Amino acid sequence: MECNKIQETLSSYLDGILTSEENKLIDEHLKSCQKCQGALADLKKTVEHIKNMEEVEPPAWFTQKTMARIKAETGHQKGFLQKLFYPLHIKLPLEAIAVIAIAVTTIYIFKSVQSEIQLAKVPSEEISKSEAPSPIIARDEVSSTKGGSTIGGKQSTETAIKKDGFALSFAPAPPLKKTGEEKKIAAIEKAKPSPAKPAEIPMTDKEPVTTGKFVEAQKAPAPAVKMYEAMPSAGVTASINNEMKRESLPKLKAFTSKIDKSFTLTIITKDIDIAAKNVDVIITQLKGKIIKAESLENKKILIAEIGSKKLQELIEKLRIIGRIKEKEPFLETGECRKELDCDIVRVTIILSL
Amino acid sequence: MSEDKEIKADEDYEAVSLCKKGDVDVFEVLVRKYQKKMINAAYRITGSYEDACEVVQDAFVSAYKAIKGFEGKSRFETWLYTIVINLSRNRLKQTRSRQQQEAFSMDDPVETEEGSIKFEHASNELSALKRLEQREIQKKVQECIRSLDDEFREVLVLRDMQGFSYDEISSMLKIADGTVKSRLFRARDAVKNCLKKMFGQSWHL
Repeated sequence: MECNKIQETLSSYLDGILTSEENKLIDEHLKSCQKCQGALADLKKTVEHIKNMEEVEPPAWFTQKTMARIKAETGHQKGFLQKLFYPLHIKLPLEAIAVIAIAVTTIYIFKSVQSEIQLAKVPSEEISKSEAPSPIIARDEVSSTKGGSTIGGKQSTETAIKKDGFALSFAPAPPLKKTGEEKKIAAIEKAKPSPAKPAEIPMTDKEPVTTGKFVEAQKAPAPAVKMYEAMPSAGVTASINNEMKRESLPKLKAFTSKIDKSFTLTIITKDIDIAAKNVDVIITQLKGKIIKAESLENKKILIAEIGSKKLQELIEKLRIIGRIKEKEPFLETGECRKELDCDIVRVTIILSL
Repeated sequence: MSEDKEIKADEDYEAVSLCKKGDVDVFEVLVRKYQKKMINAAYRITGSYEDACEVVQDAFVSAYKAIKGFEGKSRFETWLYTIVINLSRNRLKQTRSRQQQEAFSMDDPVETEEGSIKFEHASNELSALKRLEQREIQKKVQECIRSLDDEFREVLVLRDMQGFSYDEISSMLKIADGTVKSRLFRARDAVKNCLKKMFGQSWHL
């Protein structure tokens, strides 16, 4: 064989992939051929060098980065989606609980609101008149974290009391002009004992005589009830005694239940307006409050609350204004509810020609 | 011969099966197992360490994404190599035009977005002089390998550096057995001649 050809096969010879016959041939040739021996030696060396090439190391971050990339491009998305869609047996109970929780909360809120409105309507049954829908005793109660000022039955103040941003003004008698003004409590909201929202209370007439503003302050951290809608100009007043127990909600309920007696007086008078003013003065003097006033064609109706002890005085004074016709016998002292204050009596005074 | 007829059982069979079912964390085992080999192969083929790292990462990602379609006709390792080689080739084509024929030293830090990467040399017990010597030699060898034509280089790397059989190379590169042999011969021959030139007198030492 020629050296050239031999040398071509040396590579395979080196790798041992030739047949035994071929190997034999080459062996034979190599014995005598130095050239080819040299060639083989060179080849061996070369391959050695190549094999001895130092391996490089992968960078330290390689695995982590590769895996992160794989997850980002594939698996991670799956996991994320899997998290959204929990297996049914977990999902359904969770959803059921959520629905129940919402339902319960809704009912609770609904009931609270309902009861507020209903109770607000209760006292109006006694006073019910005119077209005004349920005249509701509107109360302005501001929780004052400052320990509040209870103006209980005092004519202490003037036109407006600012309280935590509240400007309460109570126009006295003259609001009789406003007919059919609806007073209502749209919603009574439980407010936190933080500054209550200033409800705009329209100051109507500036009669300095204010039959009493009251601000009932909740000293207890009980949730305060605040006016939701603007209070009508007619001063909504209630005189509250200091001893009045502070109850949490509903306040209205607590309030109305104190009044266990009410009755009606009719006064015949020549001049209704003047009479009304006088009544106002009298009530104020007696430390009572006019809660409501309505004006009809020939009549004016005033509803006042006054301490029961003052009742006699009131009647005496009212006689000065005009002839009195009592609708109900008074001077009854009924049973008072235990824990409540019995002193307050509601008087409905009808002034007519 | 027997070497060519070897059929190696795929030792990665279990890991691959799990990956097929979507277990991504198992794949990390495979990454760690083959990353060095792959990077080395890619490095020798592309001539750039930085390119090699990118290429191999791409290869692993592609492999994972395609694993459901992997039928096990070849071993996982072989399959992975094929991907690496293909991507390396592509990378070479991309960078070849931009490639600068700079003197290339294994010790030059490689700039990557991660910052410079220094080659991490395997620990060496030889003396400093010897090590220096070795490095010089290796520089030269690398040069010579780089100077090969692509198809020759691939065969050389797979055979003499990665240790694949002729059969495996044949299936990986999709070439006939005879082609593998002849290419290998010519590759080695070329490197030999190149080295001889470089070493000059000292070749025979």
